[in-house]
Amino acid sequence: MLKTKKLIKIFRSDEIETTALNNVNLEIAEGEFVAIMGPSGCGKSTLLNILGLLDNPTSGEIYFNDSEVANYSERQRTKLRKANVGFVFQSFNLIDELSVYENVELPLLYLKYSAAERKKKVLEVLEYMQIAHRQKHFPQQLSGGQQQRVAVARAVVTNPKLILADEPTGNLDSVNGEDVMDLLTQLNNQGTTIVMVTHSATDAEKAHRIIQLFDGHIVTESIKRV
Amino acid sequence: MLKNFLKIAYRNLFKYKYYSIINILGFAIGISTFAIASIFSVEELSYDSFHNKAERIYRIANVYEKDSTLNKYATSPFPLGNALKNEYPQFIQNVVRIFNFQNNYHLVEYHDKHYNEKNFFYADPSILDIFDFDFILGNKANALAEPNTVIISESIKNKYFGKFNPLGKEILINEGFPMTVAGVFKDYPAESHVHFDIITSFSSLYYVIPEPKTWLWSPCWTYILLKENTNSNNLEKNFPEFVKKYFDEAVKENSTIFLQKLTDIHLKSDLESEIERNSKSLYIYILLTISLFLLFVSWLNFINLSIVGSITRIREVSIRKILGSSKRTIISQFFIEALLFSILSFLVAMFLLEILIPFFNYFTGRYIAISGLLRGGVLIKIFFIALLAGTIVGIYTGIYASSFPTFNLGRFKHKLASKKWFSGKILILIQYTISLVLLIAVFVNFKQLIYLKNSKLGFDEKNVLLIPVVNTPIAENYEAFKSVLIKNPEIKSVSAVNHIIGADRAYRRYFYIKDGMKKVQFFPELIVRHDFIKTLGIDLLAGSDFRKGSTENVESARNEIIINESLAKQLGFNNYHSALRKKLVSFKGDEHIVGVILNFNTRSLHNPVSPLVIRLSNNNSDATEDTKFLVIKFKNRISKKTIKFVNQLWKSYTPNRPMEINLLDKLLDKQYENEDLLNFFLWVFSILIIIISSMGVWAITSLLSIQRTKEIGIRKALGASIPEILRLFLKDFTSILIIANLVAWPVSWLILNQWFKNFAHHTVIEWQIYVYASLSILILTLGIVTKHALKVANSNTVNALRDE
Repeated sequence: MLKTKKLIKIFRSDEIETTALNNVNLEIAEGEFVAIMGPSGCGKSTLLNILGLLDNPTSGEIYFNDSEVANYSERQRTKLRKANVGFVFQSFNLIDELSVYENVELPLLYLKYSAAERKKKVLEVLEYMQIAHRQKHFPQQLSGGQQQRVAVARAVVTNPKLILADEPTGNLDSVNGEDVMDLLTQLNNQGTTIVMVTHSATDAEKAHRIIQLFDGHIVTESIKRV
Repeated sequence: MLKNFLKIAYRNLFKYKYYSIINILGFAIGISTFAIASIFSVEELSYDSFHNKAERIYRIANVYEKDSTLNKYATSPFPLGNALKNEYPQFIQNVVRIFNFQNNYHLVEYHDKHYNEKNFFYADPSILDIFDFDFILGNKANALAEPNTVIISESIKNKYFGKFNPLGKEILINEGFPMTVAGVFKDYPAESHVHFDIITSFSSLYYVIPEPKTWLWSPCWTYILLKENTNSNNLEKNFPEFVKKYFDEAVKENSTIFLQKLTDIHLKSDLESEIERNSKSLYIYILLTISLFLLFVSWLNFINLSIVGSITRIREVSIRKILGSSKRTIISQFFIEALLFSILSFLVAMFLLEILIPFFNYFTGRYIAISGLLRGGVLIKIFFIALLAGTIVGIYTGIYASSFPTFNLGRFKHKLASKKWFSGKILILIQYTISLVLLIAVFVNFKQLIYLKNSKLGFDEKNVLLIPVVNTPIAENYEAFKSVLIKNPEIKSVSAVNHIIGADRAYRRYFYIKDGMKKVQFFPELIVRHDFIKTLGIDLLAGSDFRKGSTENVESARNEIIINESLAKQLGFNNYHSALRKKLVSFKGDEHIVGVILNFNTRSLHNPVSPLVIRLSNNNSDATEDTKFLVIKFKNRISKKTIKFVNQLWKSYTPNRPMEINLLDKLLDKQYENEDLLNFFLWVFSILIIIISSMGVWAITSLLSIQRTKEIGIRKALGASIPEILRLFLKDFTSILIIANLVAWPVSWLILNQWFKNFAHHTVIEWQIYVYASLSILILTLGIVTKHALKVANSNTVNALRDE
């Protein structure tokens, strides 16, 4: 489903040049659950952002369902992203001014679903995430665990083929964290491809494969026995 | 601590250069325009107050009201002044009459110098007691005691005598009256409703005409000086009785007189036969109001920009708080900074004044000086306003900034920005509403000005030359002069008239019979020579022009008149043809109506169309007197060659008298000088207000961008396209614009309709004007917002999502 070849990402500021990703070759099959690990600043998030088409690489190739997308324009990337990719962030990234319902509804709005369809889908996913009773609340009124459930709900409401999760349990206590990991595992069991960046070895245990990143390189790949 | 504050303030000033420039310049523009409006207003309000006795000087105005006729004159009959003084010695200390034959062209000659002088007056010697004259040469006490002596202004002395002492020298007035210079006085200041240049005593007038005893002719400006501690109301109470006792039988029933305070004349008097054209207090108030709005809008901007500025300093404030700074110290820091900004703005404003005042003088034709700041405490008041504005901004921003927390700054920043956004919205709404009202007013006033200048007046004023010929040999030899002119192939037609057509007229008493009743009425009248109707292209509704031959050379000719449709209706002739051959009776006997013409405006369009009699002047001594302006209609554009031809002909009749050339259309446009001035102010001020408001929008959008960077990042990650994000930004401003329009449209409509009450004739306010005004602001705003929104929308999503 996802493939990168000689992926390089260099950040340049006025005086400093930082190589965040250096020659990353990676392949992720459909239905896989992959965890990316590594120390802070090793390029995990950069890789995730590039895989999620939020950012362009400096050089190299990315294949999304066999199409080369590295040189896609912003518009093309947006189009591809909103139909296929869901995001879960460490800090949830919910919009404070919108209610739980409205936050989850947002991606459907951008996909131009009708109001009736949106309602149906949002309620469905909120029920599934067991957060429907909070649909009128605003993010500030929820606990961290509840907020992340909303964020996951928002990521899956469009039924994406790929979910990218950036330290989804980083801001949560262990109980809530486990809860969110169970949700992701369930989604994966239903066929969604998941790529997750994490510091937590426990969380990474849930994945099929763990990729270790160091200074922008892939150092090891370990495949979990299924 | 103060040193630390000033250091930070100084560094921030340069660190955020553009922000500082916009902030200081915006407020400075507000201050400087308000300063100009204040200087101008103080000067306008101080008219005539330079006279020592100004508080006790009054002018007598004269009102005639009968049926639908209401005439108010600045002038009064010759005998009135002395009669008043004799009748009420307990109130009146002194009286002066001023007279100039209602003629602004008096030929003055000395050796080889000869000019037409506008400000030549006959006056009672008491003028030197009532008004202030600062004598440079001569003895003020008896300067006007003898007949045929004159006192002259310093500039007249310099014009005719240069460096030489003019005392005892003789100048020649109107080609026949030598007068000896007995004194030189300093020029009157610009802030005077009258500017005397040459004054001779009334005793000299009686060499020209016998002393007029009639109460029916009102050509004198009469001023009285009240005794000290006298109440003018007590004197006025006696006026009805006075009128009954002295006024002519023919008018006493319908006449009243009243007092006008000298210092009120310039701004409050708009009567017939004013000595010079006055201004209106309304214009001063409009000007002051608009400049206050401008100041207010620039101040709102100052607030907005300061708040935006403070948000960029959350980190600094929180560190100060962690290090132990109290709320109070933080407030004083922002207070000192804002004060510094307002003082800098004030200084920049003073600098701007130096640049703007010459422009102001150039475009308005008025004269104000930066030294005017020192009059009426303008400078101190403006400095105080600047400080007060700075203080409020400083304390407001300080309180706001001191509420910044010391932790979780990123999250707080967004919450803060969204709270601020609401008050920012209101400030922007106020700015928009003011801008819109002003812009609509600008468009409508401009349209009105065009309407005033281009309206069909009922006669063709284009390509018409108006040459004053009063008291010249040309008036005496009019027919001969005309016969040469008319041979020039470029000249279409020639006539003459006794007043400037479309600006002025006289009145005459007429008797007529309506519904079997004998009636008497004063009707506006123009006295003309042959071909008047033809020369000015006036439309005849019935009858004909004056018939040649019947009046031209015969002393006892039949008197013919042409009336306008308004008069025909007033006389009861609904069918204009039925008015023909009917008669009115004047003191000259029967006057036969030979034609009825379409209404035309005999005065500026501030006034409604009135009834009008056009009377043909007979070729006798009256005709010379009535032939005051030569009217020459050209076939095409007026060429220099033809003017040269007219001037040569003129010189052959009166070699020493300069020919004054007036284009009739330009002369009539001058009646709208006040509207021109207002139009100028409206344009300049509205452009400035819009510029300043745009700065405000700019500030608010940048604030909004800070607030929304993360939200936009999330939305983009979720698949929002750039147009969708743009729409998000524009939505807020569009709703403000809609509300501003909802307020501004009815408000401006009400104001403008009130404004139109100053005009008997006015343009219509079309809905397109509202649309144009709204569109201009809409496009400008959306332009600014779009520019910012695109910047945010195109910014790196990854950076936006990164936790702070």
